Parts: sequence; C-alpha cells; structure tokens
Amino acid sequence: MWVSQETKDAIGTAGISAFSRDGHLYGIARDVGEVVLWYNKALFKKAGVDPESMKTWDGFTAGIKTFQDAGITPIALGGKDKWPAHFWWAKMVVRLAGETEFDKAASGEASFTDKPFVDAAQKLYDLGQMKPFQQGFEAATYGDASGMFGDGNAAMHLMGDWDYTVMKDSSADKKGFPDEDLGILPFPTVPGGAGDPTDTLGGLSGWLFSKNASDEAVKFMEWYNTDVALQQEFAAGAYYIPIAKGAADTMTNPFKQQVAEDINKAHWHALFFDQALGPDVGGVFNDMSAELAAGTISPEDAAAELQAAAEDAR
Amino acid sequence: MTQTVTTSQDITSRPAAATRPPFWRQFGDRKSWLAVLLLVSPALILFVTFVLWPLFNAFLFSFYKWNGYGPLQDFVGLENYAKVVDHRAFPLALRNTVIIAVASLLLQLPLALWVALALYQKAWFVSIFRTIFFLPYMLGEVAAGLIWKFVYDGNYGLLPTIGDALHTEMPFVLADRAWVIPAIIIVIVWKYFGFHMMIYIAGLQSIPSEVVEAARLDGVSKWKIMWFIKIPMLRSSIIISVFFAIVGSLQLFDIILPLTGGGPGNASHTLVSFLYYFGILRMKIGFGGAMSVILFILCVGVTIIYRRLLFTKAEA
Repeated sequence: MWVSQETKDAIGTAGISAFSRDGHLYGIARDVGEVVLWYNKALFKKAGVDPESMKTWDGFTAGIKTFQDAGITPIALGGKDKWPAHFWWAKMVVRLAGETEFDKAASGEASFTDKPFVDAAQKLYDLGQMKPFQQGFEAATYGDASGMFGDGNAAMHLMGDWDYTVMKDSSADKKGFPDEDLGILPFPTVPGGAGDPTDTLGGLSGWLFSKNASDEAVKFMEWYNTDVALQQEFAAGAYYIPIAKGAADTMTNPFKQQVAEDINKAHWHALFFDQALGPDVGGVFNDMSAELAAGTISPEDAAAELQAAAEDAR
Repeated sequence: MTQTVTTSQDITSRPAAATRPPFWRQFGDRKSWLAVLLLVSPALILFVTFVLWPLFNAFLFSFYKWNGYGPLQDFVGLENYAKVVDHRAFPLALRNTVIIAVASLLLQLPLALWVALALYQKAWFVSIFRTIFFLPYMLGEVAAGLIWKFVYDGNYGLLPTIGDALHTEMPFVLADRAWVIPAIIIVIVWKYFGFHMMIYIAGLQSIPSEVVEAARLDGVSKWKIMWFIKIPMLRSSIIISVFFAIVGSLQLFDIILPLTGGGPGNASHTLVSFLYYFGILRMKIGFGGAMSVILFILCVGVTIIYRRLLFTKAEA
C-alpha cells in the first residue's frame, strides 16, 4: 500500500509503525487512546489522601492503606474480563522495562523472565496482596468495575480514556459523579525503572485495507483520517482523539486534552500489550495479570508462562 | 440392533440368520439401490459435510502448528496433545467436567425422577407444574447464564439480598474458587432437570396401568410399587437420561461462558470452554484440534462402554 508523504507526516511515526509489518503499510491510523489512572477527588478528600502523594509507588501503596482504613475501596478492577488487569502489569512493564527491553523480549532477543518483567509482576502481585480491589473483583466485568467507579464506590480505576463516557453510562443513574470531582493521576513512578516517565500505554485505531482494496479507497481514507477540519469535528464532540496533527487542538474536554497532550509528549506510546503481542501471547499476558492480581501465581511462574507462550508462538 | 455386538458364531447358530442372505443381497436389484441412494443422500451429504469432514479436519489440524491462516506446513506430530495435557488449566477443566457429570447423575436425575413420579398422572394442576419445571430447559443457555450471573452478583444480586434477610454475609460465589463449581452445578440442575423429568414422565405413562393396579389389589405398598415396579419398568428411560446427562456434561460450554468465562482464574473451565478459550480465541487451531480430538475420543469411549454395558441388555 502506498500513501503520500503528507499523509505520513500528518499521521506521525507512531501511527505509521503501528500499521506496518516488514516494511509494508497495511492501514491508516485514525485515533489514539491512553490508559490513565482515573480518580475520584471527592473520595480522596474524604479519606484525606493527597493526590500529589500518589506519584511514587511508595506513596501510592501508603495511600491505598489510608483508603482501606477509611473504609473506601481503593481500586475498581474488572477481573473477569482479564484485560483490565493486564493494564496494571503492562503499566509496570512500561515503567520498569521501557521500550528497548520490551521490544527485545517481544522479538526474542531477550526473555520475559528477565528482571524488569519479573519485578513488574512482583509489583502487581504485592499490590494484589494488599487487597485494594473491590470484593469479588474476579467475577466483575469491565462494565461492572466501570459502573462501580462511576457510582463513586471506588477511589481509582486504571482504564482507557474511553471510560470517560462508559463510567457515566454504566453508573446507576447514567450520569455518574460530576466532572469537577473527576481527575487523572499520573501512574506512579518506580525508582530505578528503565522506562521514561513520559511513556504512555494505550491504543491506536485505524482503517485496514484488504488485498483487493482500490487506490480510491486508500485515497479516501487518507483524506478522511488526515483532513484537519473534519477530524476536528470528532475531536470537538469528544468522540475520540484524532491522530492527525493539529486535529486534537480544538478539543474542549479537559480529560481528552490531557490524554492528547500525554501522547504527544510521550517518548514511547506502547500499544496495549495484549494487542502488541498477538492473540496468543497477549491472551497469556492477560491471564497471568488476572492471576497475579488475585495472588494465585508467583511472579516468576507468571513470567515463565509468558515466555513459554512467546517461544511457542515464534 | 443386536448385530453390532454379536459375534459371527452367534449368527450361524441362529437358523433364521443362517438362511438370510447378506444384507447387500437384500438390495440386489439396481432399482432399489437407486431408491436407497436417493433417499439416503440428503442425510448422507449433511452428515459428511457437517460431521465427518470437520471431524477429519480436526484430526488433521491437531498434528500441525497452525493459527488458522495460510497453508498447513508446520507438522509437529503429537506435540499439540502434549501441550494440551501439560496446560495449567487442563487438570482443572477435566476435574470440573467429571465433578459436573457426577453431580448431574447424583443430584439432577433423582430430582427429576422424584418430580416425575409426583407429576406423571393427569390432573389440572399437574400440567402447570410440568410447564414451570420444563421452562428453564426451553430458555437459551446464554440467557440463563446471564440471569444467574445477576442472581449470584455479590453486590446487587438475589443471593446477597437473601443474605441480608438472614443477617449473614454471602460469599461472592462466582469470584470464589471453592463456591464457583457448586454454583454452576445449581444452574445446571435447575436448567436441565426438567428435560429428564419429561423423559421419565413419558416412561411412567407407558407403564401399563394393569400391572400397578394388580399390585395394588394384592396389597403392595405405594413405596414398594414405586421401588419394585415403576422404577424397574423405567429402566430404558433411565438409561437414556443417564446417557444424555453424561454426554451433556462432557459438552457443557454455553452456560459457563456468560456465567464465569472459566474464572476466577481458570477455576471453572470445562473441557469445551478450555478448548474455546485456549484454542479458538488464542488462534491456536492445532492446539484446539488436539483438544477436540481428546474430547471426541472421550465421548465415543463413554458411548461405546455405555452401550456395551446397558443398551444391549435393555433391548435383549
């Protein structure tokens, strides 16, 4: 597939590389998303937790204890669906391993049993041992967890930016709590991590083309995905965050603005690991994340299972 | 047909069989062959396309490492079978399937028999109860699973509401590794006992009333009539329903999916949900093929053993 240089410039490197394999381009990126740590300001105030103190891992775990002492569920998690749990391990890998190590492990040059991955798994395991998730989280779907957060029954929810609308729709009154109580926390940093603090985790969506797609179809999508005036409409309506350069500028929703800014600044925008690693290895990553959160597997075993799946898929 | 299990000696010892021509001779003339072909072909075509051909393919795929796309070229022998057996979730799935099969035999069938004995005679209220008990069976599996997910929901479900009324805290059953299988068994018994009840009702209604009446005139107690007349005469119905219960348990899948998705962890996988989650969804078609062949062998094994033990005797 051939696209013009203007399109490539408008979409940016991340968008192009996400749809390329072995030097071939298979699609045109349309929008980006980021996994963020949503938090409920009212509950933070009620428990007396300062959001600023949650920026480091030690401060974060201390904050969880404060919530528990105040009788507030610290974190909502849709464990039945497993992919929501994968965000926790993946964010930790982004922090501890960073882009270079992850790429090496994914391509087979290094192993998922290497220290940063096991350490990241250990962090999720330790977090799970503190029982920070709602009771029965292993049977809760993403929708359950999102509704719980939207109802103001959990202080935090690690979820994609799309949850802004879902948490309201899933809440009991379909409105959720007011926007002024909603905030985004930076994911806690871990000392000694190889990842850049600006690194983000999220999605990248777009249009794929079949082998028989006509040139006109490609031309149309080039225009559709990169036309600033058109994409600005979608941005203004907070439907999604367009990837086309300049299209996200008109966004008025502060949360979407922040996400767009995060991704713009990001040194590495990591694609959801369960997508980046493919259905098989990614599926094992999800399974292991859910089991780590529940404390039913050791971090070493989880990393070994992941590595075995990666070797098997090669 | 008894021919399937009798040896050649048996056949020759029977005078009728000895004089009968071999079966192909019976269709000796071309005309009847044509008729047979014409009448059998719709069923044969469907059977070959939707049963034999997929079966053959599953066998074939199980020897390859294949993700469902592109040519079959990565022959791995029995590796997929070893991977299935070595998988973390396989022992759990096997254990759960066996537990569910045993539970449906020991809980579901006696319950169905009991209800059938109470409801097989004709009376105006009987058909109402029959309909009520049969309704869950008519409900779609996925719908039933979703309904029970709400019943069991630890926050808003029926179960915690009952718990509140009794002033006890109910567990989050679907998130609890110890409770999840009993919870699923309750759903299965609720869902399928009506089906077995119907089989028994049909069986009970075909028992000649003279036999029961004669016993009653001889002063046989109700309990003994049930135990020594009705249940023995239900033998063929019971054999059929036991068979359905076992094979149904081996193939249990569509209730698990909406109810637990195999969770928490892998604690509630059955053999078929294991096959679906780790074979199909992960695009490991070879792995899935190996699992389905194992399942096929299990089902056929159970069927053959069961037939040898019971069906033939019942028909003799």
